[in-house]
Amino acid sequence: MAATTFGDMDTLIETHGLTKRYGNGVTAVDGVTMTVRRGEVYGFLGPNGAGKTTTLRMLVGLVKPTGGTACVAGFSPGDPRGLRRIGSMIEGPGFYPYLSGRENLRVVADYTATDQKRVDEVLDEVDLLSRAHRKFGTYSMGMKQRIGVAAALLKDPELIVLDEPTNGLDPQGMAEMRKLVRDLVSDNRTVLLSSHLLGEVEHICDRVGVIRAGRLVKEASVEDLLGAQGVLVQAEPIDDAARILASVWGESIVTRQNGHIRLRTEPSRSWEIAAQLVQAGLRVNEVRPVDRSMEEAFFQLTGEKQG
Amino acid sequence: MVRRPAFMVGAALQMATMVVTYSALGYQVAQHANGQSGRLLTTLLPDRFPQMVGVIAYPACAAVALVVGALWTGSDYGWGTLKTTLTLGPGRINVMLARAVTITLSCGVATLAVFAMAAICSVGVAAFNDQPVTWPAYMPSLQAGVATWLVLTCYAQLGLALGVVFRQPAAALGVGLVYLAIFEGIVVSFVTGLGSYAWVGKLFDGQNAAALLRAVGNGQTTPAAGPAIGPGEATLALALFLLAWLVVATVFQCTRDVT
Repeated sequence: MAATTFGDMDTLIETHGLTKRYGNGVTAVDGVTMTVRRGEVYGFLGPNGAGKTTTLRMLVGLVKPTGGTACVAGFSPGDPRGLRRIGSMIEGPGFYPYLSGRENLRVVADYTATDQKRVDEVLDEVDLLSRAHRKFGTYSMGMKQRIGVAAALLKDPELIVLDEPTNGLDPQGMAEMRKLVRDLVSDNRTVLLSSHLLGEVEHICDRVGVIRAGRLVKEASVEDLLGAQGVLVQAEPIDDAARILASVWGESIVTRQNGHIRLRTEPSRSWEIAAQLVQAGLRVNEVRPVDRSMEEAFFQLTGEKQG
Repeated sequence: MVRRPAFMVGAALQMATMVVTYSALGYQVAQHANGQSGRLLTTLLPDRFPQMVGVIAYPACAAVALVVGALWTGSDYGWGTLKTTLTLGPGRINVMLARAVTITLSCGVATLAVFAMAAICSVGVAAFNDQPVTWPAYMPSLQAGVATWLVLTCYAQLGLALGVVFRQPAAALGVGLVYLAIFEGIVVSFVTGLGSYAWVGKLFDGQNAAALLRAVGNGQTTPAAGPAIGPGEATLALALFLLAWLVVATVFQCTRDVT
Protein backbone atom coordinates (compact mmCIF):
# COMPACT_ATOMS: atom_id res chain seq x y z
CA MET A 1 0.00 0.00 0.00
CA ALA A 2 1.40 3.37 -0.93
CA ALA A 3 1.60 6.10 1.65
CA THR A 4 -0.13 9.35 0.98
CA THR A 5 1.90 12.48 1.44
CA PHE A 6 0.05 15.45 2.80
CA GLY A 7 0.39 19.05 2.08
CA ASP A 8 -2.75 19.73 4.07
CA MET A 9 -1.79 20.23 7.69
CA ASP A 10 -5.45 20.41 8.69
CA THR A 11 -6.03 16.75 7.96
CA LEU A 12 -4.91 14.14 10.46
CA ILE A 13 -6.44 11.06 8.87
CA GLU A 14 -7.16 10.55 5.21
CA THR A 15 -7.94 7.26 3.52
CA HIS A 16 -8.74 6.45 -0.07
CA GLY A 17 -10.38 3.16 -0.90
CA LEU A 18 -9.00 1.49 2.22
CA THR A 19 -9.73 -2.21 1.97
CA LYS A 20 -9.13 -5.30 4.06
CA ARG A 21 -9.85 -8.63 2.45
CA TYR A 22 -9.01 -11.82 4.34
CA GLY A 23 -7.74 -15.03 2.81
CA ASN A 24 -11.08 -16.76 3.34
CA GLY A 25 -12.72 -14.31 0.97
CA VAL A 26 -14.30 -12.16 3.66
CA THR A 27 -14.05 -8.44 2.93
CA ALA A 28 -14.10 -6.73 6.31
CA VAL A 29 -13.52 -3.22 4.98
CA ASP A 30 -14.37 -2.32 1.42
CA GLY A 31 -13.00 0.87 -0.12
CA VAL A 32 -13.41 3.22 2.83
CA THR A 33 -12.58 6.83 2.02
CA MET A 34 -12.70 9.11 5.04
CA THR A 35 -11.14 12.27 6.36
CA VAL A 36 -10.60 13.40 9.93
CA ARG A 37 -9.64 17.06 10.26
CA ARG A 38 -7.45 18.55 12.93
CA GLY A 39 -9.40 19.67 16.00
CA GLU A 40 -12.61 17.86 15.21
CA VAL A 41 -14.36 15.03 16.98
CA TYR A 42 -15.19 12.37 14.43
CA GLY A 43 -17.73 9.73 15.29
CA PHE A 44 -17.36 6.39 13.55
CA LEU A 45 -20.65 4.55 13.61
CA GLY A 46 -21.81 1.19 12.41
CA PRO A 47 -23.50 -1.99 13.57
CA ASN A 48 -21.50 -4.88 15.03
CA GLY A 49 -19.30 -6.51 12.40
CA ALA A 50 -19.57 -3.54 10.04
CA GLY A 51 -15.78 -3.08 9.94
CA LYS A 52 -15.23 -0.25 12.44
CA THR A 53 -12.56 -1.97 14.52
CA THR A 54 -10.79 -3.38 11.47
CA THR A 55 -10.63 0.11 9.99
CA LEU A 56 -9.22 1.54 13.22
CA ARG A 57 -6.73 -1.32 13.46
CA MET A 58 -5.55 -0.50 9.95
CA LEU A 59 -5.16 3.16 10.88
CA VAL A 60 -2.80 2.34 13.77
CA GLY A 61 -0.88 -0.32 11.86
CA LEU A 62 -2.08 -3.44 13.67
CA VAL A 63 -3.72 -4.79 10.54
CA LYS A 64 -2.25 -4.40 7.08
CA PRO A 65 -4.67 -3.13 4.41
CA THR A 66 -4.99 -5.17 1.24
CA GLY A 67 -5.96 -2.16 -0.83
CA GLY A 68 -6.22 1.59 -0.89
CA THR A 69 -4.09 4.24 0.70
CA ALA A 70 -4.08 5.88 4.09
CA CYS A 71 -2.21 8.64 5.82
CA VAL A 72 -2.40 9.04 9.59
CA ALA A 73 -0.74 11.98 11.34
CA GLY A 74 1.35 12.58 8.25
CA PHE A 75 2.64 9.05 7.78
CA SER A 76 1.63 5.61 6.58
CA PRO A 77 -0.38 3.62 9.14
CA GLY A 78 1.96 1.89 11.59
CA ASP A 79 4.88 4.21 10.85
CA PRO A 80 6.55 4.81 14.24
CA ARG A 81 6.81 8.55 13.48
CA GLY A 82 3.06 8.76 13.02
CA LEU A 83 2.24 6.49 15.96
CA ARG A 84 4.19 8.77 18.28
CA ARG A 85 1.58 11.45 17.56
CA ILE A 86 -1.38 9.16 18.22
CA GLY A 87 -2.88 7.86 21.42
CA SER A 88 -5.20 4.92 20.92
CA MET A 89 -7.27 2.29 22.61
CA ILE A 90 -8.34 -0.32 20.10
CA GLU A 91 -10.79 -3.04 21.12
CA GLY A 92 -10.26 -2.75 24.84
CA PRO A 93 -7.24 -2.01 26.98
CA GLY A 94 -4.24 -4.39 26.92
CA PHE A 95 -2.12 -4.26 30.06
CA TYR A 96 -0.21 -6.56 32.39
CA PRO A 97 -2.74 -7.94 34.90
CA TYR A 98 -0.17 -8.40 37.67
CA LEU A 99 1.04 -4.79 37.58
CA SER A 100 -0.88 -1.90 39.13
CA GLY A 101 -2.57 0.68 36.98
CA ARG A 102 0.21 3.14 37.78
CA GLU A 103 2.96 0.62 37.01
CA ASN A 104 1.35 -0.21 33.68
CA LEU A 105 1.26 3.46 32.75
CA ARG A 106 4.90 3.79 33.82
CA VAL A 107 5.76 1.00 31.37
CA VAL A 108 3.94 2.93 28.65
CA ALA A 109 5.75 6.13 29.69
CA ASP A 110 9.08 4.30 29.45
CA TYR A 111 8.27 3.00 25.98
CA THR A 112 7.29 6.45 24.75
CA ALA A 113 10.02 8.40 26.58
CA THR A 114 7.34 10.37 28.37
CA ASP A 115 8.04 12.14 31.65
CA GLN A 116 6.93 9.88 34.51
CA LYS A 117 5.20 12.89 36.09
CA ARG A 118 2.57 12.60 33.35
CA VAL A 119 1.46 9.26 34.79
CA ASP A 120 -0.24 10.77 37.82
CA GLU A 121 -1.58 13.64 35.74
CA VAL A 122 -3.44 11.33 33.38
CA LEU A 123 -4.53 9.10 36.26
CA ASP A 124 -6.10 12.19 37.78
CA GLU A 125 -7.66 13.09 34.44
CA VAL A 126 -9.44 9.72 34.26
CA ASP A 127 -10.26 9.85 37.98
CA LEU A 128 -8.23 6.78 38.94
CA LEU A 129 -5.52 8.37 41.04
CA SER A 130 -6.84 6.94 44.30
CA ARG A 131 -7.04 3.40 42.87
CA ALA A 132 -3.85 3.47 40.80
CA HIS A 133 -2.00 1.21 43.26
CA ARG A 134 -4.37 -1.71 42.66
CA LYS A 135 -3.41 -4.49 40.25
CA PHE A 136 -4.86 -4.03 36.76
CA GLY A 137 -6.28 -7.56 36.85
CA THR A 138 -8.50 -6.63 39.80
CA TYR A 139 -10.01 -3.58 38.10
CA SER A 140 -13.62 -3.44 37.01
CA MET A 141 -14.28 -3.20 33.27
CA GLY A 142 -14.92 0.54 33.60
CA MET A 143 -11.64 1.10 35.41
CA LYS A 144 -9.76 -0.93 32.80
CA GLN A 145 -11.27 1.16 30.03
CA ARG A 146 -10.26 4.32 31.86
CA ILE A 147 -6.68 3.10 32.24
CA GLY A 148 -6.75 2.47 28.48
CA VAL A 149 -7.86 6.04 27.89
CA ALA A 150 -5.19 7.28 30.33
CA ALA A 151 -2.53 5.41 28.35
CA ALA A 152 -3.84 6.98 25.16
CA LEU A 153 -3.54 10.43 26.75
CA LEU A 154 -0.12 9.86 28.29
CA LYS A 155 2.03 11.35 25.55
CA ASP A 156 -0.43 14.21 25.00
CA PRO A 157 -1.08 13.12 21.43
CA GLU A 158 -2.42 15.21 18.58
CA LEU A 159 -4.91 12.50 17.71
CA ILE A 160 -6.79 10.16 20.02
CA VAL A 161 -8.41 7.04 18.60
CA LEU A 162 -10.93 5.33 20.88
CA ASP A 163 -12.64 2.16 19.78
CA GLU A 164 -15.91 1.49 21.62
CA PRO A 165 -14.71 2.90 24.96
CA THR A 166 -18.09 2.05 26.52
CA ASN A 167 -18.05 -1.60 25.47
CA GLY A 168 -18.91 -3.97 28.29
CA LEU A 169 -19.64 -1.22 30.79
CA ASP A 170 -22.59 -1.13 33.16
CA PRO A 171 -24.76 2.02 33.23
CA GLN A 172 -22.55 3.61 35.89
CA GLY A 173 -19.41 2.84 33.90
CA MET A 174 -21.01 4.17 30.73
CA ALA A 175 -21.93 7.40 32.47
CA GLU A 176 -18.35 7.78 33.73
CA MET A 177 -16.91 7.09 30.30
CA ARG A 178 -19.33 9.55 28.68
CA LYS A 179 -18.13 12.24 31.06
CA LEU A 180 -14.52 11.35 30.36
CA VAL A 181 -14.97 11.56 26.59
CA ARG A 182 -16.80 14.88 26.97
CA ASP A 183 -13.84 16.19 29.02
CA LEU A 184 -11.43 15.07 26.29
CA VAL A 185 -13.43 16.88 23.68
CA SER A 186 -13.50 20.07 25.71
CA ASP A 187 -9.68 20.17 25.55
CA ASN A 188 -9.81 20.77 21.77
CA ARG A 189 -8.21 17.47 20.93
CA THR A 190 -8.72 15.65 17.66
CA VAL A 191 -10.67 12.54 18.52
CA LEU A 192 -11.74 9.62 16.36
CA LEU A 193 -14.41 7.84 18.36
CA SER A 194 -16.08 4.61 17.44
CA SER A 195 -19.18 4.17 19.52
CA HIS A 196 -22.59 2.62 19.88
CA LEU A 197 -23.77 5.57 21.95
CA LEU A 198 -25.59 7.42 19.22
CA GLY A 199 -26.95 10.09 21.53
CA GLU A 200 -23.47 10.90 22.78
CA VAL A 201 -22.05 10.93 19.28
CA GLU A 202 -24.80 13.34 18.27
CA HIS A 203 -23.90 15.70 21.08
CA ILE A 204 -20.11 15.61 21.10
CA CYS A 205 -19.08 14.86 17.50
CA ASP A 206 -18.56 17.43 14.79
CA ARG A 207 -18.73 14.94 11.94
CA VAL A 208 -19.62 11.30 11.62
CA GLY A 209 -18.87 8.46 9.28
CA VAL A 210 -21.35 5.60 9.06
CA ILE A 211 -20.04 2.23 7.96
CA ARG A 212 -22.17 -0.70 6.91
CA ALA A 213 -20.94 -4.10 5.73
CA GLY A 214 -17.44 -2.69 5.30
CA ARG A 215 -18.51 0.29 3.20
CA LEU A 216 -18.65 3.90 4.35
CA VAL A 217 -22.23 4.79 3.47
CA LYS A 218 -22.17 8.35 4.76
CA GLU A 219 -19.66 10.90 5.93
CA ALA A 220 -21.13 14.22 6.94
CA SER A 221 -21.41 16.79 9.66
CA VAL A 222 -23.86 15.92 12.38
CA GLU A 223 -26.18 18.70 11.18
CA ASP A 224 -26.15 17.41 7.62
CA LEU A 225 -26.71 13.85 8.76
CA LEU A 226 -29.69 14.74 10.87
CA GLY A 227 -31.12 16.78 8.02
CA ALA A 228 -33.68 19.56 8.14
CA GLN A 229 -36.12 19.88 10.96
CA GLY A 230 -39.70 18.95 10.35
CA VAL A 231 -43.26 19.13 11.57
CA LEU A 232 -45.24 16.13 12.75
CA VAL A 233 -49.00 16.18 12.22
CA GLN A 234 -51.73 13.96 13.57
CA ALA A 235 -55.14 14.63 12.05
CA GLU A 236 -58.33 12.73 11.16
CA PRO A 237 -59.01 11.33 8.72
CA ILE A 238 -55.29 10.81 8.14
CA ASP A 239 -55.62 9.92 4.44
CA ASP A 240 -57.44 13.16 3.68
CA ALA A 241 -54.92 15.15 5.68
CA ALA A 242 -52.03 13.58 3.79
CA ARG A 243 -53.66 14.25 0.44
CA ILE A 244 -54.39 17.90 1.27
CA LEU A 245 -50.89 18.59 2.64
CA ALA A 246 -49.25 16.88 -0.32
CA SER A 247 -51.24 18.98 -2.73
CA VAL A 248 -50.33 22.21 -0.90
CA TRP A 249 -46.71 21.50 0.15
CA GLY A 250 -45.63 19.04 -2.50
CA GLU A 251 -45.40 15.27 -2.38
CA SER A 252 -41.65 15.29 -1.75
CA ILE A 253 -42.17 17.28 1.46
CA VAL A 254 -44.83 15.08 2.96
CA THR A 255 -44.34 11.54 4.23
CA ARG A 256 -46.48 9.13 6.25
CA GLN A 257 -44.85 7.81 9.40
CA ASN A 258 -46.41 5.54 12.04
CA GLY A 259 -49.90 7.05 11.85
CA HIS A 260 -48.50 10.55 11.57
CA ILE A 261 -47.72 12.85 8.71
CA ARG A 262 -44.26 14.37 8.61
CA LEU A 263 -43.44 17.52 6.66
CA ARG A 264 -39.86 18.59 5.99
CA THR A 265 -40.28 22.26 6.66
CA GLU A 266 -39.48 24.90 9.25
CA PRO A 267 -41.34 24.31 12.55
CA SER A 268 -42.20 28.03 12.56
CA ARG A 269 -44.71 27.25 9.78
CA SER A 270 -46.71 24.85 11.97
CA TRP A 271 -49.57 27.33 12.25
CA GLU A 272 -50.00 27.36 8.44
CA ILE A 273 -50.30 23.58 8.39
CA ALA A 274 -52.84 23.58 11.19
CA ALA A 275 -54.86 26.32 9.49
CA GLN A 276 -54.98 24.48 6.17
CA LEU A 277 -56.24 21.29 7.78
CA VAL A 278 -58.85 23.08 9.90
CA GLN A 279 -60.09 25.01 6.88
CA ALA A 280 -60.52 21.67 5.07
CA GLY A 281 -62.77 20.52 7.92
CA LEU A 282 -60.38 17.96 9.37
CA ARG A 283 -59.86 17.34 13.06
CA VAL A 284 -56.31 18.29 14.05
CA ASN A 285 -55.07 16.44 17.13
CA GLU A 286 -51.41 17.41 17.10
CA VAL A 287 -48.98 19.64 15.23
CA ARG A 288 -45.46 19.72 16.67
CA PRO A 289 -41.87 20.34 15.55
CA VAL A 290 -39.56 17.29 15.33
CA ASP A 291 -35.87 16.67 14.85
CA ARG A 292 -34.51 13.54 13.29
CA SER A 293 -32.46 11.83 15.95
CA MET A 294 -29.04 10.32 15.30
CA GLU A 295 -30.66 6.99 16.03
CA GLU A 296 -33.16 7.45 13.21
CA ALA A 297 -30.42 8.54 10.82
CA PHE A 298 -28.24 5.60 11.85
CA PHE A 299 -30.96 3.03 11.36
CA GLN A 300 -31.93 4.53 8.03
CA LEU A 301 -28.35 4.46 6.75
CA THR A 302 -27.43 1.03 8.06
CA GLY A 303 -30.72 -0.63 7.22
CA GLU A 304 -31.00 -1.90 10.78
CA LYS A 305 -34.39 -2.11 12.44
CA GLN A 306 -35.18 0.12 15.36
CA GLY A 307 -36.06 -1.71 18.52
CA MET B 1 12.89 -8.15 32.54
CA VAL B 2 12.19 -7.21 36.15
CA ARG B 3 8.56 -6.45 35.23
CA ARG B 4 7.97 -9.97 33.89
CA PRO B 5 7.72 -12.43 36.81
CA ALA B 6 8.14 -15.33 34.37
CA PHE B 7 11.86 -14.57 34.21
CA MET B 8 12.24 -14.63 37.98
CA VAL B 9 10.03 -17.69 38.38
CA GLY B 10 11.98 -19.43 35.61
CA ALA B 11 15.33 -18.71 37.24
CA ALA B 12 13.94 -19.84 40.61
CA LEU B 13 12.69 -23.10 39.05
CA GLN B 14 16.08 -23.71 37.46
CA MET B 15 17.80 -23.10 40.81
CA ALA B 16 15.28 -25.41 42.49
CA THR B 17 16.15 -28.07 39.89
CA MET B 18 19.78 -27.81 41.01
CA VAL B 19 18.83 -28.16 44.67
CA VAL B 20 16.55 -31.15 44.02
CA THR B 21 19.13 -32.92 41.85
CA TYR B 22 21.99 -32.37 44.29
CA SER B 23 19.77 -33.43 47.20
CA ALA B 24 18.60 -36.60 45.47
CA LEU B 25 22.08 -37.62 44.36
CA GLY B 26 23.57 -36.62 47.73
CA TYR B 27 20.97 -38.78 49.47
CA GLN B 28 21.89 -41.67 47.16
CA VAL B 29 25.55 -41.26 48.09
CA ALA B 30 24.69 -41.26 51.79
CA GLN B 31 22.53 -44.38 51.50
CA HIS B 32 24.95 -46.58 49.56
CA ALA B 33 28.54 -46.58 50.77
CA ASN B 34 30.10 -48.47 47.87
CA GLY B 35 32.42 -47.76 44.93
CA GLN B 36 29.63 -46.56 42.69
CA SER B 37 28.42 -44.04 45.21
CA GLY B 38 32.02 -42.90 45.66
CA ARG B 39 32.25 -42.15 41.94
CA LEU B 40 28.91 -40.35 42.15
CA LEU B 41 30.18 -38.31 45.08
CA THR B 42 33.15 -37.05 43.05
CA THR B 43 30.75 -35.59 40.47
CA LEU B 44 28.89 -33.70 43.20
CA LEU B 45 31.91 -32.00 44.76
CA PRO B 46 32.77 -28.34 44.13
CA ASP B 47 35.55 -29.02 41.62
CA ARG B 48 33.00 -30.66 39.29
CA PHE B 49 30.00 -28.39 39.79
CA PRO B 50 30.22 -26.67 36.34
CA GLN B 51 29.96 -30.09 34.67
CA MET B 52 27.07 -31.00 36.94
CA VAL B 53 25.27 -27.86 35.84
CA GLY B 54 25.74 -29.02 32.24
CA VAL B 55 24.12 -32.35 33.06
CA ILE B 56 21.08 -30.69 34.61
CA ALA B 57 20.87 -27.82 32.11
CA TYR B 58 19.65 -30.10 29.32
CA PRO B 59 16.86 -30.99 29.28
CA ALA B 60 15.56 -29.77 32.67
CA CYS B 61 16.69 -26.13 32.64
CA ALA B 62 16.25 -25.93 28.87
CA ALA B 63 12.61 -26.94 29.29
CA VAL B 64 12.11 -24.17 31.85
CA ALA B 65 13.75 -21.67 29.46
CA LEU B 66 11.38 -22.79 26.70
CA VAL B 67 8.40 -22.32 29.00
CA VAL B 68 9.56 -18.81 29.94
CA GLY B 69 9.98 -17.82 26.27
CA ALA B 70 6.59 -19.22 25.28
CA LEU B 71 4.84 -17.60 28.24
CA TRP B 72 6.43 -14.27 27.52
CA THR B 73 5.37 -13.81 23.90
CA GLY B 74 2.22 -15.94 24.07
CA SER B 75 0.88 -13.94 27.01
CA ASP B 76 1.53 -10.68 25.16
CA TYR B 77 -1.09 -11.78 22.66
CA GLY B 78 -3.51 -13.02 25.32
CA TRP B 79 -3.32 -9.87 27.46
CA GLY B 80 -3.31 -7.55 24.46
CA THR B 81 -0.04 -6.01 25.63
CA LEU B 82 1.61 -6.58 22.25
CA LYS B 83 -1.19 -4.55 20.67
CA THR B 84 -0.62 -1.78 23.20
CA THR B 85 3.14 -1.87 22.66
CA LEU B 86 2.91 -1.77 18.87
CA THR B 87 0.51 1.18 18.87
CA LEU B 88 3.04 3.16 20.90
CA GLY B 89 5.31 3.24 17.87
CA PRO B 90 8.50 1.28 18.56
CA GLY B 91 8.23 -0.70 15.30
CA ARG B 92 7.70 -4.43 15.00
CA ILE B 93 11.31 -5.36 14.24
CA ASN B 94 12.58 -3.28 17.16
CA VAL B 95 10.11 -5.00 19.49
CA MET B 96 11.37 -8.40 18.40
CA LEU B 97 15.03 -7.42 18.66
CA ALA B 98 14.41 -6.00 22.14
CA ARG B 99 12.82 -9.29 23.11
CA ALA B 100 15.79 -11.25 21.75
CA VAL B 101 18.23 -9.10 23.73
CA THR B 102 16.09 -9.35 26.87
CA ILE B 103 15.73 -13.13 26.64
CA THR B 104 19.49 -13.49 26.06
CA LEU B 105 20.25 -11.33 29.11
CA SER B 106 17.68 -13.15 31.23
CA CYS B 107 19.24 -16.48 30.29
CA GLY B 108 22.61 -15.05 31.29
CA VAL B 109 21.18 -14.13 34.69
CA ALA B 110 19.57 -17.58 34.98
CA THR B 111 22.91 -19.22 34.11
CA LEU B 112 24.69 -17.24 36.83
CA ALA B 113 21.91 -18.14 39.27
CA VAL B 114 22.07 -21.89 38.58
CA PHE B 115 25.87 -21.86 38.72
CA ALA B 116 25.74 -20.07 42.08
CA MET B 117 23.15 -22.51 43.39
CA ALA B 118 25.10 -25.52 42.11
CA ALA B 119 28.26 -24.18 43.78
CA ILE B 120 26.43 -23.76 47.09
CA CYS B 121 24.93 -27.26 46.82
CA SER B 122 28.30 -28.80 45.99
CA VAL B 123 29.83 -27.14 49.05
CA GLY B 124 26.97 -28.58 51.08
CA VAL B 125 27.60 -32.07 49.70
CA ALA B 126 31.35 -31.72 50.44
CA ALA B 127 30.68 -30.59 53.99
CA PHE B 128 28.17 -33.38 54.59
CA ASN B 129 30.63 -36.00 53.36
CA ASP B 130 33.75 -34.51 55.03
CA GLN B 131 35.36 -33.77 51.67
CA PRO B 132 37.73 -30.85 50.97
CA VAL B 133 36.36 -27.89 49.01
CA THR B 134 38.41 -27.51 45.84
CA TRP B 135 37.15 -25.09 43.22
CA PRO B 136 37.38 -25.90 39.50
CA ALA B 137 39.78 -24.21 37.09
CA TYR B 138 38.64 -20.86 35.71
CA MET B 139 38.63 -21.61 31.98
CA PRO B 140 36.61 -24.89 31.97
CA SER B 141 34.10 -23.20 34.29
CA LEU B 142 33.79 -20.27 31.92
CA GLN B 143 33.34 -22.64 28.98
CA ALA B 144 30.64 -24.55 30.82
CA GLY B 145 28.94 -21.29 31.71
CA VAL B 146 28.94 -20.01 28.14
CA ALA B 147 27.72 -23.38 26.86
CA THR B 148 24.89 -23.43 29.39
CA TRP B 149 23.96 -19.84 28.51
CA LEU B 150 23.87 -20.71 24.80
CA VAL B 151 21.67 -23.78 25.38
CA LEU B 152 19.23 -21.91 27.62
CA THR B 153 19.04 -18.97 25.21
CA CYS B 154 18.46 -21.28 22.26
CA TYR B 155 15.49 -22.94 23.99
CA ALA B 156 14.11 -19.68 25.35
CA GLN B 157 14.24 -18.29 21.82
CA LEU B 158 12.44 -21.40 20.55
CA GLY B 159 9.70 -20.80 23.13
CA LEU B 160 9.55 -17.15 22.14
CA ALA B 161 9.15 -18.09 18.45
CA LEU B 162 6.42 -20.63 19.28
CA GLY B 163 4.58 -17.99 21.32
CA VAL B 164 4.58 -15.69 18.30
CA VAL B 165 3.59 -18.43 15.87
CA PHE B 166 0.66 -19.68 17.98
CA ARG B 167 -0.23 -16.24 19.38
CA GLN B 168 -1.04 -17.77 22.75
CA PRO B 169 0.97 -19.44 25.51
CA ALA B 170 -0.87 -22.76 25.93
CA ALA B 171 -0.33 -24.18 22.44
CA ALA B 172 3.22 -22.83 22.34
CA LEU B 173 4.04 -24.54 25.63
CA GLY B 174 2.45 -27.82 24.61
CA VAL B 175 4.12 -28.04 21.21
CA GLY B 176 7.49 -26.91 22.58
CA LEU B 177 7.58 -29.39 25.44
CA VAL B 178 6.37 -32.28 23.28
CA TYR B 179 9.10 -31.45 20.77
CA LEU B 180 11.77 -31.25 23.46
CA ALA B 181 10.72 -34.21 25.58
CA ILE B 182 9.23 -36.67 23.09
CA PHE B 183 9.40 -35.89 19.39
CA GLU B 184 13.15 -35.33 19.10
CA GLY B 185 13.95 -38.45 21.14
CA ILE B 186 11.71 -40.65 18.98
CA VAL B 187 13.10 -39.35 15.70
CA VAL B 188 16.74 -39.56 16.82
CA SER B 189 16.26 -43.11 18.14
CA PHE B 190 14.64 -44.10 14.88
CA VAL B 191 17.27 -42.60 12.55
CA THR B 192 20.12 -43.88 14.75
CA GLY B 193 18.69 -47.35 14.32
CA LEU B 194 18.78 -46.88 10.55
CA GLY B 195 22.56 -46.44 10.69
CA SER B 196 23.24 -44.53 7.49
CA TYR B 197 20.69 -41.86 8.41
CA ALA B 198 22.14 -41.19 11.86
CA TRP B 199 23.36 -37.79 10.63
CA VAL B 200 19.71 -36.62 10.70
CA GLY B 201 20.09 -36.49 14.47
CA LYS B 202 22.52 -33.59 14.03
CA LEU B 203 19.62 -31.51 12.73
CA PHE B 204 18.02 -31.32 16.18
CA ASP B 205 18.98 -28.68 18.67
CA GLY B 206 18.65 -31.09 21.59
CA GLN B 207 21.36 -33.38 20.21
CA ASN B 208 23.68 -30.43 19.75
CA ALA B 209 22.88 -29.05 23.20
CA ALA B 210 23.57 -32.43 24.82
CA ALA B 211 26.78 -32.84 22.82
CA LEU B 212 28.07 -29.39 23.78
CA LEU B 213 27.29 -29.81 27.47
CA ARG B 214 28.76 -33.32 27.38
CA ALA B 215 31.97 -31.89 25.90
CA VAL B 216 32.34 -29.25 28.59
CA GLY B 217 31.44 -31.91 31.16
CA ASN B 218 34.31 -34.23 30.06
CA GLY B 219 31.83 -36.83 28.92
CA GLN B 220 31.73 -38.43 32.34
CA THR B 221 28.24 -37.70 33.46
CA THR B 222 26.06 -37.37 30.38
CA PRO B 223 25.19 -40.62 28.68
CA ALA B 224 26.36 -40.53 25.10
CA ALA B 225 23.47 -41.10 22.74
CA GLY B 226 22.66 -40.11 19.20
CA PRO B 227 25.15 -38.90 16.62
CA ALA B 228 28.72 -37.89 17.45
CA ILE B 229 28.89 -34.08 17.40
CA GLY B 230 32.02 -32.11 18.26
CA PRO B 231 31.83 -29.07 20.56
CA GLY B 232 32.64 -26.62 17.76
CA GLU B 233 30.07 -28.16 15.48
CA ALA B 234 27.48 -28.15 18.28
CA THR B 235 28.18 -24.50 19.13
CA LEU B 236 27.77 -23.47 15.50
CA ALA B 237 24.58 -25.50 15.16
CA LEU B 238 23.06 -23.96 18.30
CA ALA B 239 23.99 -20.47 17.11
CA LEU B 240 22.24 -21.20 13.82
CA PHE B 241 19.19 -22.57 15.63
CA LEU B 242 19.14 -19.40 17.75
CA LEU B 243 19.23 -17.25 14.62
CA ALA B 244 16.61 -19.39 12.90
CA TRP B 245 14.12 -19.07 15.79
CA LEU B 246 14.70 -15.32 15.87
CA VAL B 247 14.09 -15.05 12.12
CA VAL B 248 10.91 -17.17 12.37
CA ALA B 249 9.58 -15.02 15.22
CA THR B 250 10.45 -11.78 13.44
CA VAL B 251 8.90 -12.84 10.13
CA PHE B 252 5.69 -14.00 11.79
CA GLN B 253 5.40 -10.87 13.90
CA CYS B 254 6.17 -8.47 11.06
CA THR B 255 3.95 -10.02 8.42
CA ARG B 256 0.85 -11.01 10.34
CA ASP B 257 -1.99 -8.86 11.56
CA VAL B 258 -2.29 -8.26 15.29
CA THR B 259 -5.92 -8.78 16.19
